[in-house]
Amino acid sequence: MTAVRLWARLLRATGPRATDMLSAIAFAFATAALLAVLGGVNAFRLRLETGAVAPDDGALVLTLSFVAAALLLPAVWTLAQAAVRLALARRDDRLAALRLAGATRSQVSVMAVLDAVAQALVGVVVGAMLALAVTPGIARIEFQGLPFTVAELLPPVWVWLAAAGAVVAVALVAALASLRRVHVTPLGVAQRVRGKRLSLWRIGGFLAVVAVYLALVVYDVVPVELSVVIVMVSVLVLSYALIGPLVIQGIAWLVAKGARRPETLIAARRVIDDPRGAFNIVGAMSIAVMAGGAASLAPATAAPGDPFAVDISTGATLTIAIAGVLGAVLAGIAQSAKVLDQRREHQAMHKLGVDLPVMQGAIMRQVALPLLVGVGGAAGMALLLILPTFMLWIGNASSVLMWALMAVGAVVVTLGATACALPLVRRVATEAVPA
Amino acid sequence: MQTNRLDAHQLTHTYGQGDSAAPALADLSLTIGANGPEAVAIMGPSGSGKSTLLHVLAGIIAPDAGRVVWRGSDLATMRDSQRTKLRRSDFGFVFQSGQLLPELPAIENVALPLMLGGGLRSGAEAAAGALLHRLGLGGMLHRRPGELSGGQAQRVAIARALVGDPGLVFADEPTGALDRSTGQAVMALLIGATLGHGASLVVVTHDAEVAAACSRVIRLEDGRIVSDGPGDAAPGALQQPQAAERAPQAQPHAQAQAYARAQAQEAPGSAAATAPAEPEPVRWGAKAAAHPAPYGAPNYGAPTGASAPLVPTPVSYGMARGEQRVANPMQQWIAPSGTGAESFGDPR
Repeated sequence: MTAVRLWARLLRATGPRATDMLSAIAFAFATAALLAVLGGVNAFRLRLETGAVAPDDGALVLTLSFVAAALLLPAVWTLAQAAVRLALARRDDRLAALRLAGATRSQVSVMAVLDAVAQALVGVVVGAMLALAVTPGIARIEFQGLPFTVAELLPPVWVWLAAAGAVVAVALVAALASLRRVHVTPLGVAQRVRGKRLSLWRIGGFLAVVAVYLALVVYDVVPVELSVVIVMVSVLVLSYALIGPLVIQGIAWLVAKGARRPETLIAARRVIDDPRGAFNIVGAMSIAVMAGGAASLAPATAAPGDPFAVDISTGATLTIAIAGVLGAVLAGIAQSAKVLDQRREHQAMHKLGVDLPVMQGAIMRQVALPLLVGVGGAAGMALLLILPTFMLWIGNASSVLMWALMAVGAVVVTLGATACALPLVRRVATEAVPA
Repeated sequence: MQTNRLDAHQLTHTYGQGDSAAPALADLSLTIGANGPEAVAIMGPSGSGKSTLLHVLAGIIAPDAGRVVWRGSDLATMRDSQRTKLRRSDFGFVFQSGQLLPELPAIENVALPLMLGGGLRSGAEAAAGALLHRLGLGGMLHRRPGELSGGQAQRVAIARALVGDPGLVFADEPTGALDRSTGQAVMALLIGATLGHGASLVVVTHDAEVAAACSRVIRLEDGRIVSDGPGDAAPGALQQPQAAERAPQAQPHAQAQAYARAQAQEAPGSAAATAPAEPEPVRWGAKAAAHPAPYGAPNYGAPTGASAPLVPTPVSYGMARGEQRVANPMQQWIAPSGTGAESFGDPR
């Protein structure tokens, strides 16, 4: 209980800070996105149960909605993790100092976890209100030829409670994980050595997925049901997460080799150092863009007026939109956390005479590089997937154009959100006041 | 030629307000580099204002009152961006730790200031590589700071401070995170290479041994200078800077020149040795010749005692007639391989 009392006293003494707000905002967006997606799934489930739609179509759309939810869950998880990092970024020093002052490992853990959980709780409450606020907007969207109703989109209370519990649990787990370094070194965070290497199993895993996909879906080696095909397509799209970090690291390495500007060099080296972190920011968006690209052809492949094809297209657009919002918030939050994590570096660079635009340029490029590689690569893969249907594509230009605009929009919004971290660079770099 | 002279006039700086106001600098005036390059130690108890003084002199923070004039220009009249550029082009910095970018290998860390100044990457890396070779880090060009020992990381930081050809190098507790013998070696290298470069050195320290290696020691208390004079010249400490100060203009050649030449002779395989007429060595030699000898003292003995624990016998080099025969205390640390490098504790 000592730890809880100490935590409460420190909270009263320092009060909430800007970073706490940002972290709570991240939790809020994660919660709102999770609830919106669960609301959609719930609506399709209700329609199927009440017989409002044909059972076959209804089941398929329900499966697809689960797929869309699965595509978005990693983004929710990463966003919560970034929020925790931000929550703890400025507390490392304080926690290390507490360790030096004699606080036990478990006391420090309790305090850090309380920090993260408190912000997650605030975020969950705000996020739930946000989800309620946007539900009437979502209800205007037509699926299966029918607009949603607000009632359909509100899942049962236990689902809400479970979602809130999940977000708080993520905060708890991520807080404990990021605390290890405080445990290891009370005297300060040790200098990082070369980052963890990416396992080459990633290539193997990706190739295996491609092989199974080709066997089952393309060549029909074993006859399978449509739901298995949908699952296989989803697994193939999700396997982009295996190969993505490797591709981003490889391209960042090439960029670092050829970099002429210091900001490009610094950004590329940082991406090489942490390709998984770089991919996490852009992964969900890339995957949504890839799935959306493939889905953009659906209206052309269906018979005129088939509501199912329109649904797929709408669903894809919606998924890209949610992934884009999550990705944008994530990029802003993650880069803010990074700037705070690297405050000593930024202060040193300021003293050494590194211009602020160079430091800020590095922060932007750190997101832009994986973003362009990730989303660009995903869009390229989607185009490859739909290339065999080139004529359909021409005939269905508006759907493909819509998809392309969504992808570009998601990239632009993400870069805009990243720019929100730039004022923090100035503050962090110039705040050093020696005693 | 620009004189690397820094004048501080009546600097006053206070942290906090009202009752909690703590004066960090109180009407402090000093001049650095009036008679050529010098190594100045700033000492004082915690809170005496030494770090504040360093930050004010380097234009990192603006004093509440007073002026800092570098090469005839008042820093207060410059815009923020101009001061930033000045720090990059005219000054070098060595801090206690945490100054190298952890994601960048040593060579890119050192090349960065030149790239920031608009230099081409290829040229910047060539200059950085040559300098790192000279400082005995030829085998570590592509290691990242996390893979270097503390002493090696500080040598990389020294290379980065000097690669832009600064007129003045600021060091804030540069040996604070190092063990004693590594700290001494780093300090000797810092002083030797900085003065050999024709730049002055201002080092904030609480370590009397570090201060003793400097030609001038300024002691602060409560933001005021309480003493300003030659270093302690303790037996066993590096004494050459004191000698340099006694007759700063008397020996126009010198240690630094010998330093460059020694590199060419003693370090086959290093960049300096294989291409002695290349711009880099010439720049070092020319630069050094234009400035007074940093440690070209007559009868200067072998580097002995605390600051030179590694090589028991003096190393002398052949000189042109009329030049002083001097020992090069740096040789043991600047050799690209061999005895010196091990002293820094290779982490492998």
